[in-house]
Amino acid sequence: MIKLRLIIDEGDGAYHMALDEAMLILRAVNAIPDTIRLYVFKPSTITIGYFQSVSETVNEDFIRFRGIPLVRRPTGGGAVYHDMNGEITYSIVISEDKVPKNHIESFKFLAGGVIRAARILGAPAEFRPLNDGVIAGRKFSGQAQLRRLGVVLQHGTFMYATNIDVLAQSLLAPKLKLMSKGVNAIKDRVTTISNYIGRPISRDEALRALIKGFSEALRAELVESSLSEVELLLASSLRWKYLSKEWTYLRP
Amino acid sequence: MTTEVVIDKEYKEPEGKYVHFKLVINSECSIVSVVITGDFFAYPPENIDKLSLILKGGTLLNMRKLKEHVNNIVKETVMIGIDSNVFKELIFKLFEEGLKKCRSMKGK
Repeated sequence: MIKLRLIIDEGDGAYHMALDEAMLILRAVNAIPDTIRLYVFKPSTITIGYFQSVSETVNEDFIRFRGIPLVRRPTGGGAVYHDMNGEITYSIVISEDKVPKNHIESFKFLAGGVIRAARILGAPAEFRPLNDGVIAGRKFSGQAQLRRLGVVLQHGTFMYATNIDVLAQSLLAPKLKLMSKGVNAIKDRVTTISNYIGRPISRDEALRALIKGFSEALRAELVESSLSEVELLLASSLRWKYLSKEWTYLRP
Repeated sequence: MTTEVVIDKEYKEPEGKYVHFKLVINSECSIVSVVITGDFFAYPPENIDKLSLILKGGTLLNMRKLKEHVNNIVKETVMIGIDSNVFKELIFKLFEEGLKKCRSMKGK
């Protein structure tokens, strides 16, 4: 059985990305143990993948009008709307020898927690390669990963009650991508657990399901704790990167 | 004064990810920039930035050198969501199109 330190957290997007990067670095030098962080973006935020173009991915007029901040992640993958009233993000920082070496297998292994959590809430969730969690063919979770110095950082989403209308208006997708999935709009590709099971889900309920889900799926003992001073200090130094226009518009 | 031209190529891998290449060249057949965007994964991710940087300022008249740069960097990179060989071939096609375009610009 693996042991995971559990952190439950909330804050803005720049803080979260800075902290994920800080934890990856600190785990690599054994300054912190293997950790899972379950967190809420406050305020609701858009994050985009490291390689994405802002103008191709995000409706900037809409998010500016709604006051939704934009943050570029250090990980690849696609754009995400983190609804503070409907989504919990997980990040796992773990030594590479505890996960499958193959990247796609490791996506699946670490995403096992969100799949299990969705099933606990009553939705028949499955993992769909490369990196999606789906319910009846529609995406409710996406994962992204970075590996450095023998450590894996994987973070991913758990859309339990995301406002899909805001999501659909915030994000753009290349026509080529939508056509290949046989759908005309982002709205047709995604779902939430609440939508599927037909009742509202509270954040507490989603959080409890995630804790149980990750514990069962990863056969892990989750021990709740708090962030150390060195993590907060390093995250604070890195936060400026994630707030900067140079980083966010790395690929305009 | 040189003119600049943009050549675009996008690709969606079946059951995979999306990539978009944007090559900017001038009438001297020099590469002004190569921008590679998409929702794929690459390890280490910095290799994609390194690729863009190393190609910048290169000349399409020395295709062998450009292809060598691409081959060297892609072989050191794990691509997830886009097949590495497809990735390389798309860039090479971009170069070929760029060369045709700048030759026609020079001819004017």
